[in-house]
Amino acid sequence: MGGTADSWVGYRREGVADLARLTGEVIDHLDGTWSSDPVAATSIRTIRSIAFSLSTTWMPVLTRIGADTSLTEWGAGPPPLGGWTAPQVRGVPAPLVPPVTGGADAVATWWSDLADEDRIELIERHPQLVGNTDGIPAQARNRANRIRMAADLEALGLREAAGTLTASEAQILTNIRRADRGVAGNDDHHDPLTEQAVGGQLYIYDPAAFGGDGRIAIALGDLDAAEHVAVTVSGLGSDAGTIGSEQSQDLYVEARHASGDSVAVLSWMGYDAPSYSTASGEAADIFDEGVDVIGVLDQDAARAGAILLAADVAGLHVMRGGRHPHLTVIGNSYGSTTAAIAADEEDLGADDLVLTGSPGAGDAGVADDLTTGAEHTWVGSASSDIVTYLGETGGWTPQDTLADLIPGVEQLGDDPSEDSFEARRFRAEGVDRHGGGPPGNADDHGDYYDEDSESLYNIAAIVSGQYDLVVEAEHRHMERLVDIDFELDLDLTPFTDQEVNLFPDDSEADRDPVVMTHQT
Amino acid sequence: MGATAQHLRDRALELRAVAARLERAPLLALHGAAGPDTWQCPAADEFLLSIAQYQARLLDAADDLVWQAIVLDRMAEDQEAADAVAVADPGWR
Repeated sequence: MGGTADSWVGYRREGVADLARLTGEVIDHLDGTWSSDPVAATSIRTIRSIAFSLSTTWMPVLTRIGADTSLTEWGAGPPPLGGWTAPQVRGVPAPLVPPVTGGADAVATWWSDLADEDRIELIERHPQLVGNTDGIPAQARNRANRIRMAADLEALGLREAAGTLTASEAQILTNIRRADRGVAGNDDHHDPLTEQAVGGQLYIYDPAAFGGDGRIAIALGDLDAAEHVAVTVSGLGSDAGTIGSEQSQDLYVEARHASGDSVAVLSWMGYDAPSYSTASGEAADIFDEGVDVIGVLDQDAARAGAILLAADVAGLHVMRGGRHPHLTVIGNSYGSTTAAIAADEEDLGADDLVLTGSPGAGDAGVADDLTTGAEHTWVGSASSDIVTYLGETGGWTPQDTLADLIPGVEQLGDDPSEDSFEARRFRAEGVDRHGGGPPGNADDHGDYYDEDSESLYNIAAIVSGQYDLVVEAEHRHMERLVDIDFELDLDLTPFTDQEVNLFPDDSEADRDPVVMTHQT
Repeated sequence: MGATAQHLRDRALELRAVAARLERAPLLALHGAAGPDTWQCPAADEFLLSIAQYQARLLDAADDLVWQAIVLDRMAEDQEAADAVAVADPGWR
């Protein structure tokens, strides 16, 4: 092992004490900055996040600096200026610092060259360098992130017990506890074929990211070794505090039964999904109340998330060396927009892409625009799911303005279930659907992962590469304006008549849903 | 002026006050106190970098609040204009 980070100089006790006092004043100032106005919510979260970082990251450094024996306390004379040069990470030997250039490939090479004892030292003593670093195997990241999570739970739990938890810290603690339950739930899950414990992996752990919404990804199964890897991307209103393990467990079970191959499901809440709430701050029904001015629902968050999604998926491939899994990305609701943009603009490294409950596929006009192409781009749109009618249609009709009629909602792209998009649509009618056909309802938007559903059956078949088992559905078809003109003999007056169908034809509404499962 | 317009203006005023408070956050003092005559070590550099990032994020947040206040003020103006029209033409004649 090479040199250590002992080339620094030292500190002046009074100066550092002043710095700690000033830092405390900044924290107090930020904690005292508040507004209950809903349009200020994002800014307030930013403020809380910064106060949290100052109090949990920097105050301990400043208040315990005298206990650091690697530092020299300067006397009254001038400090020995001239300073130090790299390494950049405090107290970590240079060879144990992951390379900062070369991306995940460089990290993977560096990791594979480390001795076992160095890897263990990194995981146990510097887990922050391991937990979220692409290129490091999932098992190592998992161990590091669990160490970090346990430490955070203890630290924030103590503050909670002492009654000193700030609002932002409380939100972060909620995220951590949800993540903890999600990992524990996966740890306890047993494989349906072997009856052995499957095990969970805490693959990404950053509970304070995005102003307190958090960035978390939890796997069921072994991301390092599984033959089939599914990455699920959630949508509107989801954050680290809502991450759960039930959906991934249901998908895991169905996918295992579909093929018998090994499977891992990564529940990825790795981007800042749009939040929505009423003016009073309560969760809102988007269709009753629209999206609040806190955040207009447009493609911006999806576009930012697409970059992160593509990078994380690339990291999954890199960490496995040449042993690439069959990888499926499944975007649900707004997450489908995020996933589609990643496949359109960010070179998403997925073999299959599944879009369920999609309000739009970003700027892609046809499935062939996506990295997965028309053959491996799949769409699950229940005929009774109102969200799936928000997407733009293949022809221009007044329906294209539906999204614009909902306050705060902008177009999120084409409806991928239409014939004009040329993706492969599979059956996804909910067994308990509330009536079929457009305009549908909001209740049937959340049924795509239901047990024994057509949707889960088909997603599991795709995830496990059993394409022959997928039960496909007819596309939706939107009559184009020229067709309407012809039928109406160029008389546009009836175009505004209520009898003109403003929604696409969907034959899926005309049949009864079927209970489906790969479990026999 | 209608109650709604006044309410919008009150909200804008509050947002501007929060933005002003953010701009007064003594982060610059922190930056000045964390110089090389106080400490020299990797943590010192990381601290200065963090403070610079926090400062940028706080200023962005303040800018966003000011922008939201401008939007609310415009909404108030629109409301006032609508109220004025309603008074001039009550619509029941």
